Amino acid sequence: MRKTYLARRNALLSRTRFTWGASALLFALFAVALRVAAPNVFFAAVAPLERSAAAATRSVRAAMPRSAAGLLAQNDVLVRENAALAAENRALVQKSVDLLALLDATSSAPTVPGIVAGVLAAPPEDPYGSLMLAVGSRSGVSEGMEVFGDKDIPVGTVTTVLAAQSRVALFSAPGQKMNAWVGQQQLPIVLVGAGGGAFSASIPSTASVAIGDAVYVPGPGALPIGQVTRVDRSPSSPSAELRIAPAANPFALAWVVLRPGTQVLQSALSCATTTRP
Amino acid sequence: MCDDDTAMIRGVLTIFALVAVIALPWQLAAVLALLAGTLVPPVPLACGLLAEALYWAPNISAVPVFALSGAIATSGLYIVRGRIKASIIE
Repeated sequence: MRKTYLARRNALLSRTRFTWGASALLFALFAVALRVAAPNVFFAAVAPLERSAAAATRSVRAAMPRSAAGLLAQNDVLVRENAALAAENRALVQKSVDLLALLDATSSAPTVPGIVAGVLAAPPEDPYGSLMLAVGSRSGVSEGMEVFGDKDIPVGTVTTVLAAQSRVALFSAPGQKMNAWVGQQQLPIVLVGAGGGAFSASIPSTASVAIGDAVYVPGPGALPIGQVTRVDRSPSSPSAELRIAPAANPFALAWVVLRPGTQVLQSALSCATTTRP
Repeated sequence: MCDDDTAMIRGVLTIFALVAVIALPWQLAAVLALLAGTLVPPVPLACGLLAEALYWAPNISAVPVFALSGAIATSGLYIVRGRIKASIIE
């Protein structure tokens, strides 16, 4: 006679559910252990995944549909910018030819000083508002180096260096504060990182700061870091709140340049942060 | 739906949630982790630990926020599942 019986099952966990949950936990614990024990090996293994993910994210973002009017306006701006850059390029090439002839030099085009680094991970994938770069101590990177995006716009400083990767704390990360100035009157302000690449600052309500005013941080000369996009004034408050959009969008950074830290920019970090004692 | 289909759904959600930690914005990864956690409760904790392994540094944040959040979410999901199963059995 055929015997039937029911296997005893745990009311909370079945063997199947436990397997997937346990596998996920074991995988995560293994990742943590590898990160602690051998960080260079861990990040070397993860770097190709992060690079692919970052490239896929950028291509998806570029392919996302936008309004026709917005695209047309953007196209007009880009066409004008392209024409201006082409004219400037022709003038610079001619100037370079003239100078080389004058100096009787045979060198090639001047190189931009600094270390060029690819960005492996950036916000919003990185939840802590930092950048992970594909260069480390082997390429000459050291803690405290300043990081610049397109058009020499400062974006952060190097805080952690491994053999082949390094981590950058963005100036716009929540909690970061730095001295800056805004507008034609060069009104001094304290820039506060608001996350997502944005900044905020407080000014006296009587100050004449308008939307579109540029914000600068000290550096060789003045380094543009953003532009005022909103001014919140309240009749009952003695101060006004500025919202500042970054000049370099950290979400779209693919390449950055690292340069040795200058005391000028470092000293602008006015308050103690998680990156500075 | 048979057990094999359910197991496959759990597996797919678990893998999606873990991959999302690397490939997607963290807000989306958190939502996927919670969604997967309704079927596989340890997933939010696993995703939080993976996020800390990838992105945490002591000079960026003093506290591993995402691992703690994952632990709280996993504990909550276990408690809710226990209550639901107890009410079903009763």
